[in-house]
Amino acid sequence: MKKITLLDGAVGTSLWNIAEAHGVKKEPVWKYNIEHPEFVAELVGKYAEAGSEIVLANTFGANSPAVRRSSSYSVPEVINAAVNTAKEVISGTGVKLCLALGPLTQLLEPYGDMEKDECAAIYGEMLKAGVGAGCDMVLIQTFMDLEMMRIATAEAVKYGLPVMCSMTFEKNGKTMFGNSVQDTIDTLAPLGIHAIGLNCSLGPELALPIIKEFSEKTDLPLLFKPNAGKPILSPDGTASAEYTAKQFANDIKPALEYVSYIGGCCGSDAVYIKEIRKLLEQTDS
Amino acid sequence: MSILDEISENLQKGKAKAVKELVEQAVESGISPETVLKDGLLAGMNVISEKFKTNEIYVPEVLVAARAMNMGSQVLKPYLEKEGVRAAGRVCIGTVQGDLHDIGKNLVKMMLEGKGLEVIDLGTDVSPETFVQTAIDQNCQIICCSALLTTTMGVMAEVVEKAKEAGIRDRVRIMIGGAAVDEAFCARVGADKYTSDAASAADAAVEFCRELAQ
Repeated sequence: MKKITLLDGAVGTSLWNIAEAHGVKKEPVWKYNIEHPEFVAELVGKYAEAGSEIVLANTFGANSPAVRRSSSYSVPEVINAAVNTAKEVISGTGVKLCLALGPLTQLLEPYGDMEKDECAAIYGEMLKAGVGAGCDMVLIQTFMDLEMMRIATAEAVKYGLPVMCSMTFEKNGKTMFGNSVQDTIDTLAPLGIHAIGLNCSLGPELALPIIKEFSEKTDLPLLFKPNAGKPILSPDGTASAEYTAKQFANDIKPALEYVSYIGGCCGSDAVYIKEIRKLLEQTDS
Repeated sequence: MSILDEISENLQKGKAKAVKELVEQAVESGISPETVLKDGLLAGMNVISEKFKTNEIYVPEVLVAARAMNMGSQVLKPYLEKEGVRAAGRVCIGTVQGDLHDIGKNLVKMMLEGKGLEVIDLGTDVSPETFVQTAIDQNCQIICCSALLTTTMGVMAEVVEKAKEAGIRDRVRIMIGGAAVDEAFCARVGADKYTSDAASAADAAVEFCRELAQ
């Protein structure tokens, strides 16, 4: 059986949980890189301990429009802080660090006002900072607009690091922008990426058929990071993952047949990663 | 093809400039602005909305059609005001506090406008107080709350609470949507309606406005 690399779980929702536990206000999580690096270090430490072989730097939403809108920091400042904090935690453990790039909240022309050049420059700035600070690879994830993904990917491959691309799909097997699995492969594979797949939006059950479709249509290594599932609220109003970690690990089992990288997205935490670790160990033996 | 059909057709194709010109022509030729709105612009958006619901088209097509609709609406606005034509209802919409995701919310806004409703866009990271105060100050019949994150959906319960406290629950309907929520959650927090897509949200909003007008 081929080697499956264990990724981490959610960064955003997990950091908010940590912030809440410390009585700190929920803010765009990239701010914690500078204002509360101890939260970021805690999360990276938990994932590394749970068995993640690759962890994400807390850089997903640290793009210049967002950073400029709600802080006086610069993008390199935020990204350097994210990478340095994570590197300190994983130093000497063999765990790799991956720069995370998320979609912009602005839409590309002609649907919104963002010009393609401007979009490329925004991702270029994040990549330059992240690669310069010492990330080992790049994960571009949670995109629903394949054109925006293409622009970010074209920038990312320039740096020579392995680039993994992950779109987010709806129940009907397409992204909100109507991009299919085939469209995704046709657009991204020629750019020379390392891996392709999906994350977020759906829990394991609904995401499985889509990752299977990827496996039928491409020989590229596949990445799979589904959500923990739809949450239910506890009586005090806080969200708790509906799927227990064990159930999650059980539900993603069929995907082990075709994926090379596996982890969780929104709602999943280190407990989930531990369960996947156990699952991988069972399948190995 | 009548000029109204032409407006609808061009709107569906997202030809904003053509829509604007055709609306001007239609009004100049003596067709009532209300008819141009209903049988031209809204008719076109209706087709878009139905096709979106059945996955025949996706977000990009809706976005360009909505842009064409806006261009046409801007031409019509002064005429409609002059004739005292009022919107079928008024809605305030926003993404709840702590949540900055706005693509879904914007889609719903476009679909609501596509049904001829007036929409006050409160943007993202909107506090429960702002939703309720806007509904009171602007006489909205509906509050629409969006949440993508599981960590922010709880704010919707607060919106319902604040509306109760303000004593407006008998005249304001609260609708919710977004990846984090579902029907069961809607019932649990005491909101009035959950819809799973933007087009259905607009249908439900129109229905509520009709009920409240009776």
